[in-house]
Amino acid sequence: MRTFLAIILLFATALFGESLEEFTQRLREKMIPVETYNGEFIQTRELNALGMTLEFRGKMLYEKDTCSILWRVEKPIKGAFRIHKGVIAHWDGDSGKSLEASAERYSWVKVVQERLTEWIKLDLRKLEEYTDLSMAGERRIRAVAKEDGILKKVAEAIEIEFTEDLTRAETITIEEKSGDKLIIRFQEPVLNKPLTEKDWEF
Amino acid sequence: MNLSRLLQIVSAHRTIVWTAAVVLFVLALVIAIRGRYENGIDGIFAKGSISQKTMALLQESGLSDKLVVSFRSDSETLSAEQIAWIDGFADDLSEMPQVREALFRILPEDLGKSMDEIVPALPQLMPPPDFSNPQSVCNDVFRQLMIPAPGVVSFVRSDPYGLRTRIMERLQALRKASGVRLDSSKTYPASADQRHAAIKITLNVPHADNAATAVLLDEIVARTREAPFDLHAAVVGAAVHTLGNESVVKRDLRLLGWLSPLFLVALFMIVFRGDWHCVWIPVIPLGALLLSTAILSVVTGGMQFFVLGIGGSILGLAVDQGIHIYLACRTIGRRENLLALVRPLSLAAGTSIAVFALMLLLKSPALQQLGALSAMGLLFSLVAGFLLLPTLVPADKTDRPAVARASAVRRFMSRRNAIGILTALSIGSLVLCTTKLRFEFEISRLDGAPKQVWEDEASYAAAWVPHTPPILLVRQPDSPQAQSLMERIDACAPVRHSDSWPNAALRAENLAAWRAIDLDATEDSLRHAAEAAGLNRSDKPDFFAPFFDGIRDGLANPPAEAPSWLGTACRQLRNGDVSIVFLGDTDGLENALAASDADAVLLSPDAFRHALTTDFGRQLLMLFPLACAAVLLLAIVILRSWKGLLLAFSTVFLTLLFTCALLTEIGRPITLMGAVAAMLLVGLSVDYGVFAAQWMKEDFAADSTIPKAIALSAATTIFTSALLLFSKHPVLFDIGLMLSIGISIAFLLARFLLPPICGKKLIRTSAMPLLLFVCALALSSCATPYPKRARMYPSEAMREIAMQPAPPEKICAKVTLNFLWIDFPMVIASNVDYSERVIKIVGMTSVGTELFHFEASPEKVLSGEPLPIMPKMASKLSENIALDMARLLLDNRPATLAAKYSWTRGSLRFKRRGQNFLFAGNPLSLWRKSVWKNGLCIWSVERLDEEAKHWLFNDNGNFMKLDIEIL
Repeated sequence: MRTFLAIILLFATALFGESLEEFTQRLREKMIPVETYNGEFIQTRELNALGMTLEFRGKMLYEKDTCSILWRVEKPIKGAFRIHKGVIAHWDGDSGKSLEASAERYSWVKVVQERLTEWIKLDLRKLEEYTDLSMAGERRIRAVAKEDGILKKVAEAIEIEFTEDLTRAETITIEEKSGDKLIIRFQEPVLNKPLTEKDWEF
Repeated sequence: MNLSRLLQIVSAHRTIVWTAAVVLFVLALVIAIRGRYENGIDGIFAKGSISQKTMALLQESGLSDKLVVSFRSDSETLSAEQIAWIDGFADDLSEMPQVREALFRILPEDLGKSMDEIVPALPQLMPPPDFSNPQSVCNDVFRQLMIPAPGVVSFVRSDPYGLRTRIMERLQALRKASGVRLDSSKTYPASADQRHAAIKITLNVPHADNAATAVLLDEIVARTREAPFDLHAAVVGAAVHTLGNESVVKRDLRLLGWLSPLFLVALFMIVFRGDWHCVWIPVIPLGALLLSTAILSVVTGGMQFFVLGIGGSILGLAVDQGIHIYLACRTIGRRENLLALVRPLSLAAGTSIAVFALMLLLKSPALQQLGALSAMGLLFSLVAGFLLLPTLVPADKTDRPAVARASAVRRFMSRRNAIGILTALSIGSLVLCTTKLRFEFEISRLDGAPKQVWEDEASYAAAWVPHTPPILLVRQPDSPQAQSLMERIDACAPVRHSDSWPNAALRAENLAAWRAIDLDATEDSLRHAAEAAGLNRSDKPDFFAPFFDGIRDGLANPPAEAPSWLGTACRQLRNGDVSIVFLGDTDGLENALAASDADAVLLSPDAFRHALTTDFGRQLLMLFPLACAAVLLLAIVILRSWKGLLLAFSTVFLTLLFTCALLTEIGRPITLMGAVAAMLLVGLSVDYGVFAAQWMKEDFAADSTIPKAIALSAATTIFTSALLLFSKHPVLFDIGLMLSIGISIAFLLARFLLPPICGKKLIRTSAMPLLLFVCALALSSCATPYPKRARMYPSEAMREIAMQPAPPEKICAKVTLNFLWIDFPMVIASNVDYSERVIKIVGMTSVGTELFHFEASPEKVLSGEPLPIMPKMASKLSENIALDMARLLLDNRPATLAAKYSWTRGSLRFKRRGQNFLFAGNPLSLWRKSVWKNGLCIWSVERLDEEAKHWLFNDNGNFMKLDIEIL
């Protein structure tokens, strides 16, 4: 996924003290263009109102060409969420039951699909439409929701932290309007290895 | 006092008579100019008729008060700047006095908050859910939390039981039923392709106040032209049609108003060799028509524009009287000639007046006006013609022939030839009329809005509403009669106001059920389950507090109005006392409506056609024999000759027959206004028969003035009718077409065909070139204002269907049953017995474990059972699968299809016992099928590929989906 890499490239140049422009330039130089992504993640939800933290661990697949995502959670529950071939599927790993819904029939699914793919793709062009970008650390970029932007409806800001070699994003933090935080940390990804239909199965 | 004495008196005081006539003319002109004229098609419908009731309910429902400004972006999606501009424009529109509401933001900007608004309304919207399994609820919530999207937490906290999802399903059902394709991720109306947005305007002006609406429309058009950022706008709505019709009719009237007198004067100057006295011939009928218009505009308070348009034809008819009087005045023996004219001219005018006067018996205000205007115009013209014209036209002392002589010897027609031609034409016409004559009483034939209006509407429909569903309008929907009607039409899958916001009684019932719940205990049990699941800690606030707080709030202070998400839908579905119900199907609706006392009407092209046919057909059937009787009576009194009567009536009968045949031959249907014009034709064509009878009394003398007068008067009437063919408005066009063809035929019959048969004489064809020219003009010079329609090919269609191969007897299919949050993949094997209409079906898991086996017909499961290990709900679903498969496999066979259908755009749709079929492709094959029962779509099936191997079962009623792949 070129966009994914472009964004990571953009942000990967963020050395401490660097300007946003310099950082994005370094990102462009170092970021690996991603066509497919296969790696583990740790997703942490910090529930502000409840003072609690929930952690989910699992594996994520991404394919740029088909704009497909598989979000498989292994702990603490087994389940998966998949956007593939225009269908969003939800799978309950404990019971083996699954639900499919097409974006055509359920318009809300379409909204979820758009937002979700946007976050994961890190589409900078899209991001800049409704956020103001700034540096938030040596390898960290912060996108604050514009007042009239679409993100403002659900979140205040997004922070993206890149790996030391600036080849990819390492952590995405979404600060929600409710004060909750959604932190996704990507681990040991395998990039650009072709994915088969079997990989997309639950 | 006899006419001779009266003429002497008028002649002696001609100056006084002229002065009085001029004063009357000016007075009539002033009144006519200041009069009020209307253009709404509702004025055409009879009082108390289905059409009028439909229009009245339509106006009451507010649908006709709505305008939509649809914006289209040149870009792939509407930009933020474009939306901001539309926002500002909507605000500006709201400030306009003609606008009650300009709705753009249909949802609050903060979607999260608007979703939270729904929670307090839940106790009224639905009965309480099953609270007995909190652990299961927590598990579901946990699964939703794993989705890496912001906002999920607050969403599930305020709705752990998924109740809002059910509300969204209701909205989805409404959206589906209404046919409107919206992108629901936007807070404004955005089309599914995201290139269109729309402002919905509710007008604040009375329905008939076209001037105020015109100002608003002009303002909207002017403002939208200034729209920046490649934004294009189109305004759509009933008012646009009304104003469009008005502009078209006004343009037509201007054209006719200039052309009619100009042509008549030019014609007379040529025919009468520059005798300027002939100018008075059209002036007198014009004055008579003006006087009639003035009187009617005062009496009715608002005349229909199209009635004025037809006035041109009436002028042509009234001019005929002037021609006869003029000819009598300009030939030797002036007084005798005039006195001899009284009887035939009175009869000719009297028959027409009688037919027009009979139209006053119709309950349609517009047709009453037409009848009154025509009858008065002819009467005034006749009187003024006899009294005034002789004073204006002196005797021709030079003994110059008043009418141009035939320039050359024409061919002659023998009696034998005339009989032969007439017989051949009659047989041919009868065959044509009995086999191919079409009646099209469609409301669109009354709508002459400009092309741009139709194009805007088509573009709007393509972007927003590709398929408009039938709509039922119900006055006082909460009345017992309306409720009873709703129960009767359950099979039509109605989506109504109460589906979005229940009526007061049901809301109270739901509320009572919620109040009976021990909410504290429910919350406690859910809290404990949440703690056990790791969603909550005992020292922290309750995870599901937002839900329970919202419910408690809703129980303590039940919201009086629907929340914003539903409010918009509610406003669309009800206006005052009228509820708007979208229908998925109309099977059995007609009977249900007929048997119901509810005040309800159906809105659809079919329903309008049916209403117009019923309403006008009934009236015309009543009026036709009355018109014939009146004409007969007058003819008996004045003609006093059975041969004359026969001649007069043959002219009428054959004129109607040949006109219908000719229209059929050139591919034109008889429209509603065409049928009205046919009735006028009875009164007009009998005139030619009467003059032919009069001529017969003169033994068809070649030097008689009658044939010349007939030719000239036919030329004037045909031309003034043919001028209507230049109208852009279909009402005027239809009337012009019927009259110009009809009068041409009446003239040809009375002048050339019937006299040889009656009088054994040879007739010269003196005015043939002129008539041929006018007929050619009438038939070929004008383009029809509406597009050609598809023809029906039932036999071809049946052959195509018969070519369908029989489905296989053994079917193996991969089926995925999707029910709520669960997917069941399975393999189905089925043996189909088409002769017995029974299938045997076995369901297996993907690894071959048998789940169920059934024997089923399309109506019921005959035997079999699911395995005991299957839960109760799943066993019911497996029965449904067996039934669905039986319906699909057995009821798709062409032999079982109904014979009644229509051929439309290369596809074939029809219904049979609640089943909807769509055949398409070449050769035709089943493309889509749905089955409705008890108001629910039991299932629908749609071909997904060319090979018809994949079918999608979609059980909307139970939110269940079956994906079936035929292996």
